[in-house]
Amino acid sequence: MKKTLTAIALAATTVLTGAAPALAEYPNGPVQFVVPWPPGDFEDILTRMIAEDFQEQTGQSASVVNRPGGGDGPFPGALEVLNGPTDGSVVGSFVIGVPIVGPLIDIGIDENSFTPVGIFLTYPFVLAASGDAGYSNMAELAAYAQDNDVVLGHFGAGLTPTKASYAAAKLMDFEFADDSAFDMLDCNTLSSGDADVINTTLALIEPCLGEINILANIGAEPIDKLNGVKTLAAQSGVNDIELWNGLFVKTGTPQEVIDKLAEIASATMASDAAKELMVATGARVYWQGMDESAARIESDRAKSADLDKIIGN
Amino acid sequence: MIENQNTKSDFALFEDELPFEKDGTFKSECRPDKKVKLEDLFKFSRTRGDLQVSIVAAAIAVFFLIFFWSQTGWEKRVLPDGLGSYFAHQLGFIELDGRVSRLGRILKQSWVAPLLCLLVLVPAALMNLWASFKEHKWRKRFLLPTSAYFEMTKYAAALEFVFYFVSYTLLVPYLGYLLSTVLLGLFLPWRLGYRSRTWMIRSLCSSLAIVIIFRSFLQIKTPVSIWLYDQLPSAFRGFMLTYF
Amino acid sequence: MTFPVIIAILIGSVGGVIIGAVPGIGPAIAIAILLPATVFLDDLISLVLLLGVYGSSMYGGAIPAILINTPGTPVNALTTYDGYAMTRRGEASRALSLAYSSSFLGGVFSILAALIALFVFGPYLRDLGALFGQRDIMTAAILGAVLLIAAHRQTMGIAAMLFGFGFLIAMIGRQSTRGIDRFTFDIEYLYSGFNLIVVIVGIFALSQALNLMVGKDDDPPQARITGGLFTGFRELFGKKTVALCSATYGTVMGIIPGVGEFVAQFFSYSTARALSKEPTRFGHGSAEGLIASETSNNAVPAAAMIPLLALGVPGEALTAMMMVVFFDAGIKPGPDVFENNPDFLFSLFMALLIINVLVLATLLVSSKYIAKMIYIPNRFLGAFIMILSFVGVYSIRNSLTDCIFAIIFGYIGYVLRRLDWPLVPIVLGLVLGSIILEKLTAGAGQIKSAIDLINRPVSGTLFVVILFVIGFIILTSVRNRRRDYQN
Repeated sequence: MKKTLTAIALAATTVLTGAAPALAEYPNGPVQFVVPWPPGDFEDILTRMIAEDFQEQTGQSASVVNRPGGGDGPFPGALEVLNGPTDGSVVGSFVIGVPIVGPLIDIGIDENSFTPVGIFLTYPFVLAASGDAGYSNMAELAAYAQDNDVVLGHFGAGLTPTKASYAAAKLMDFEFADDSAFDMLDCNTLSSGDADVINTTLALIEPCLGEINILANIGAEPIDKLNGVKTLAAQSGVNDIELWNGLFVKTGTPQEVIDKLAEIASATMASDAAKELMVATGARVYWQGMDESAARIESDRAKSADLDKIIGN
Repeated sequence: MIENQNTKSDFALFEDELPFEKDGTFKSECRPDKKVKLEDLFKFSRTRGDLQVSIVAAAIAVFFLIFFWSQTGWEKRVLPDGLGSYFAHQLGFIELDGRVSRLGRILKQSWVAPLLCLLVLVPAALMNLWASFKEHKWRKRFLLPTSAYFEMTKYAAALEFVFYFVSYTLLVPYLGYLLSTVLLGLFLPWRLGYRSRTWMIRSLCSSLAIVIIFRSFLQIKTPVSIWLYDQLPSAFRGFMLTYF
Repeated sequence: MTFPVIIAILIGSVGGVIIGAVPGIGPAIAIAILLPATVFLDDLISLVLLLGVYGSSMYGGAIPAILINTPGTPVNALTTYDGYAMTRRGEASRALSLAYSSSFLGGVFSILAALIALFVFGPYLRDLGALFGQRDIMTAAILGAVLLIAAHRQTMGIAAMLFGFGFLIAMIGRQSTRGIDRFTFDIEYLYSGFNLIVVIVGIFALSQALNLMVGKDDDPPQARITGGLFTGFRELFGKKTVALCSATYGTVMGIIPGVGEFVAQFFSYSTARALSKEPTRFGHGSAEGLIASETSNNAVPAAAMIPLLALGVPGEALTAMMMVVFFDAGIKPGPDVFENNPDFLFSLFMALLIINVLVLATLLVSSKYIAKMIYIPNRFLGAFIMILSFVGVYSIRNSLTDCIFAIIFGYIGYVLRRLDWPLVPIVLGLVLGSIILEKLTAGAGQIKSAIDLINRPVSGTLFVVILFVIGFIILTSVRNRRRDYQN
């Protein structure tokens, strides 16, 4: 209801301001933010906040579109942005996997298909196991896995957190007996026994956080909310690659578009709502501009290549 | 209609009494359980075009079977050596030494599901073709009509409307949603025979209603790069793109 | 319960009745077309709107079934038998009020059953969820498939073949991150596979549009509704056994995936006839026949929600579309829905209850006006279904190729309709097939050897049931074949 009333109000304003000079200023049409995951997770919530602020501040309608790729992760959604125009009307909200793993698989994404507008979220990505598993950190898991079958559940074999888990296993000298790709990893996955160890974000296992064992978190620093859980890097010796989410546009989009988006998004990330989210969930919310993000992507590319080498690809 | 009961003897069909009772209500001579058979509601009998379509269906199934070997990752399969003994082990008949591949690793490969599907689909399609063929021969044997000409004309008639829909789909990126829908909404009823002024007005109103409710009000997505709108000055272009 | 939500419920219910009342459009078509349009509305509003259409269309479908011997939706087919006979005797309003009251009873019965089950099992549902893992859901989907095929008594082979085609369509696609590439022939469009709504709009809506446009306009006789519509309630009260029995059938059949309204109706009609004191009147204006068919077919929608919500396995095509609606509203049906969204379940069934009440009230007041919908000429209707289908299909993935494939599926559906072959197996092949595929991939990790597929309590039991059903199918078809040869 509110959206339709806003739509009508926007119609009125667009017609009235239509008499403005023909110099097209961004944004001059509706803008879509593409989130290549199902709704509900952190990147979805934050992107919706950005879209709302965008609409308020520019007067153009901004909407968030979820394009879950099912078994294919974020790539179908990324391809949709890639096939879109370069005028800034389609903006992607992508995880690290898109610019880094995308070029490695044969789907049409190159290393410079997308230009980062900025990175704003680090996921609280963890390895979790059920409460009555016989291990509560990586060392115990390594010991347990020597004689027992441990099955890893993840979001896709080529994705970064999966690679990190396998690299850690290699370095700690144990093997996962098998692994499965899921499109949703949550409390039920552990309680029904579909996987013994899962790679997931804290948002998805929030309801049962008290009853399960968090073995490690994938990132550069431990998460405050989980006391006593060390990072995967500290426990196994893999590099401290982090799983982040950022705003991207198709390469070729004019700089003023990127600047405008950065201006609005960085303000959203500094807002109180975002800060509350950060404290409550363990995610880290910040803003890294275009150049910083590009540099970070390059260094993450190197880290990812390292992981591949450890696994033996 | 009978006038009176004196002419009873003329009705050889009804021995005892006339089908009409004294008070005029009709009493059926049919036995009760023959009156309505529920099974008739769901009765299925193969119609004329059945054989032709069954042939096409079987051809499609065989087509997928042929391309199964190249299109599903069969070439990249990873199966343990000694498949026979592996299966025997899986079914619990024998014990194998050393490391045994997990069944899950085989099931995850991309060709497993197509194989299982085709194992059900191809026999079903071929059996259906055989049943259809048997029915066809049965009908021919009893000199019942078997020509599917009428069905074929009906299939061809539908193709015309398929063409209209495809043209509409291809027209939208050029003329925009509003114009294309109004054009189709006026043309189709006209083609179907609703040519009077009242009907033309009704068609126009309905198509406009559809455009306004779905596009302007509910903002459903329609193609965003429209040739016609690009010819308009920038302000109008934005307006038309958002609302029409 | 804010004002927009109330409006949405109203529009959904009344709209659903009207849509059901127009022979030629069914709830599947309406939901398929409205689904993408609701993306821009608030989640709750769109959910309630589509739920209204889902729960109320069978009420409306009885109107043309009774008045002009044409079922408004396919599931009202049995209603035509007794309902139209009553109209011919001049008892149209009696038939209508019987139909409304029986539908109301059926709907409320299954909703209450679901709510009671929720209350009783609610606290345990979270632990129950732990029983249902990937392999269990896969077995449930396979059971649904087997039951679906078994339910098509005389066309089992054709149903199996069409189910296989549906499964094949589900398989086409490429998932690079999992190394899966099936039948894409390196065509870029096929990488993402076929979308469920595209296929449904094609097979149900566009095929019906083609059917209507190629055919002739009906000349419906003048149907007059006079007199009060309340007599039916009293009559229903007098025939409690039949009504409750049919309602139970409908509820139970709805819960079993793959079975659906047709079998529910068939069984309840046959049982009512067997139990009745006047079996000869069935098919010729028997009140019990009307009660039996309408109660059971309206009990199915609410009950069919249960396997959808509990397992994520939809039991019939319409419920499969509601699954998409739930996804869009951010709710993923499956065992974790009890953990994550328990209030949602309760509100869902309460909303269905309100919808049933609203619809009944509306119908009692305005049947005369709604009945006018049956006079829309067929071919005109077909033209507008075609226009509306574009709306439904393009908005899903912004793809014009989707629209082209939709009309291809529409043509296929048209040919199938002319041949009298069932349409539902293709759609359920697509739905259940994608569930089976996904669960197989996800569950494969824990499968060390063949026994792991069935050594869990739920999948083991379901596997045994599947074996029974297959055995039953083989037995009965052998027996039928022997009987055919004997005749």
